[in-house]
Amino acid sequence: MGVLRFQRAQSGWFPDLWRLAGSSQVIIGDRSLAPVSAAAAAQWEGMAVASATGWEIERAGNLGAAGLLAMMLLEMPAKGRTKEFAAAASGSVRTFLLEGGPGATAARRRAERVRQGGIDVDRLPTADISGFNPYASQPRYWRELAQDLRLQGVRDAETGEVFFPPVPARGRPVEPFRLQRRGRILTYTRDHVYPLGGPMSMVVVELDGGGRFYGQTAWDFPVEIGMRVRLVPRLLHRGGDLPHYFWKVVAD
Amino acid sequence: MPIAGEVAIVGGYTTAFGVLHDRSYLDLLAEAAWGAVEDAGIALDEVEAAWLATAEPWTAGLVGDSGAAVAEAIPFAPRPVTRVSNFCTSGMEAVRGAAMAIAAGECQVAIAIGAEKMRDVTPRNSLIAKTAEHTHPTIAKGRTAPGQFALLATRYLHAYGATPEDLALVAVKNHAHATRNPKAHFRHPLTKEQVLSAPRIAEPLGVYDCTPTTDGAAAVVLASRAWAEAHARRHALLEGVGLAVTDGYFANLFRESFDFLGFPSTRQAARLAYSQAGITNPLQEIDVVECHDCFTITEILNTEDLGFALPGEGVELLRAGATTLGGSLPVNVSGGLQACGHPVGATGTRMVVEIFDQVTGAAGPRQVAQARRGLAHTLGGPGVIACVMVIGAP
Repeated sequence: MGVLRFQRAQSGWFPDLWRLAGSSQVIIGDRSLAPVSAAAAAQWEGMAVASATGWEIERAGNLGAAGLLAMMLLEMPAKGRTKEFAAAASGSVRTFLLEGGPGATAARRRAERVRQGGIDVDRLPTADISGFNPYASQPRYWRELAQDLRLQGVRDAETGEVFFPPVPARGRPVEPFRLQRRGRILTYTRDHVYPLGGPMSMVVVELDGGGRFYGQTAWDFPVEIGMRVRLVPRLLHRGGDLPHYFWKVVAD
Repeated sequence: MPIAGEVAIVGGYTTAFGVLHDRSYLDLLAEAAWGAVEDAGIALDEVEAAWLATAEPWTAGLVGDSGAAVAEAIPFAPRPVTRVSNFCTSGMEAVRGAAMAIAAGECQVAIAIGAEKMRDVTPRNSLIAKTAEHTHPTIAKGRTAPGQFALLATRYLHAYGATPEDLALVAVKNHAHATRNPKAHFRHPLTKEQVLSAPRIAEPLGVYDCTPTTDGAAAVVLASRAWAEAHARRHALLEGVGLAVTDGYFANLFRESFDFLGFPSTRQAARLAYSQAGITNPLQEIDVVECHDCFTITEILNTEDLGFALPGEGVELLRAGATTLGGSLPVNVSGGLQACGHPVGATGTRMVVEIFDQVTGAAGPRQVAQARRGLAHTLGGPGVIACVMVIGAP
């Protein structure tokens, strides 16, 4: 019901930038990082500020930014209408153009029903991450975005071995390599003591095209060696008030 | 190599291992140090330097975060103390550090102490909490220590047709051995049925496939061979010492080259130690073994990586009873990590004390008849570090 187009990104050290509703003052959330430039602050003038953390619908899992995007689409049901918005986090401001498309009106009616009455389909159980506030670091978050969101690793140009997470480049002839997101289970365990969302399986996946993934299943489904699986993006937690998206495994 | 054959163990002591609420980290450290010094028949003043192994000082308020803890626990000031940490190999890393100093001529007599106070917090607030809360914010989530080794159990059972009953044999064997070890955390026998029916931890591992969470300390006094021959009541020689580090903690289980059927770190550490000790046929030339049975599967893999069995045949060695006290190669007659428990920094040092006792005929009801040469092995993290020591009667 819509199209999201990336417009541009501006990088720099942007700490948490807050602009409270009804105020024109930009507040710096973390003074330990570089001072905000006048140009950066100016981008925020006249823009609505919304938080992805307000979008939780009971039993729907961790919607993260998906709920926020849905809200924005619902505000412009007509096809061809556009909305520019910026996401400022982890060291840069990225501007997007959101364009309403066909089906938005019907989607809006359904979304309103869900907002009022709660989720209306059976959902598979997902981990309850409320209150989970593990160690997190804003510089690390910014530095490893490609690793976390695009599964960007490196590959040894001589041996062909894939390294994910990527290793420092010096001393090995490595080149950038992006993991594919489908593969086959090599081994697994169903863990009963991990203190969040269990029991659920941890699986090691031999990925198509090279490299391996070791991580959680998105929910507790039966796994076996040799099974085809794929990786899907999920919200792991909001440690340090940063939404940590990463990948989990589902049957393919 | 300078250490091999030139550095001696001249005294050793292990505290009780268990839930020791009445004793602090410093109390355990002190008890182990004094015990080893008395066993060596020397005064504390004769010890010139100390190495301290504590891997998880945060469980005890960071008291053991540096060598300073030794100066507080015993009258050791102002002598040099180095705190070492290499995951679960830390206890042997302390012995290795002391041995290198002696081999280099920096000192004649040194002490290696491993100490860990894990039960000032509950087991769930210990390593499980650390892995969930304090580790890498994305790569590490979902992991637990048993979960990481369970991956190898799943793969090994699939590859070689072994079963959870085979894993249970390790627990039954080591708990039976521990009935002869008054220092072990658990000292009662277990049946195979109890092991198989225990609650699951990380499948196929259940409660009794896992080492418990334990307090404890152990210490070893080392000296040059010349000093030992002149002064020691009893001594054994470090005939080979191998340390191998193969990868990063979080990275290892992502590596394409890892087959989940054993640990290259152990194989390399063993290669180094055997080469120094002149061992070409470990199954014949080693009389007694302490190896890192943090989980039942790990002992089976260790016997293969240490060269006692071919890949896939470690389980046959176990089924045949070869690794039981009385068999051809007794493994973990102390009860191992399975029954002694695993105060992380103390485990490696405890193993060295056990082998020292075995090859000097001082192992009492656990004595392996005519043991002259023994091996101690620890494995760190998810298997990325391994240390192997061959210790022999002079």
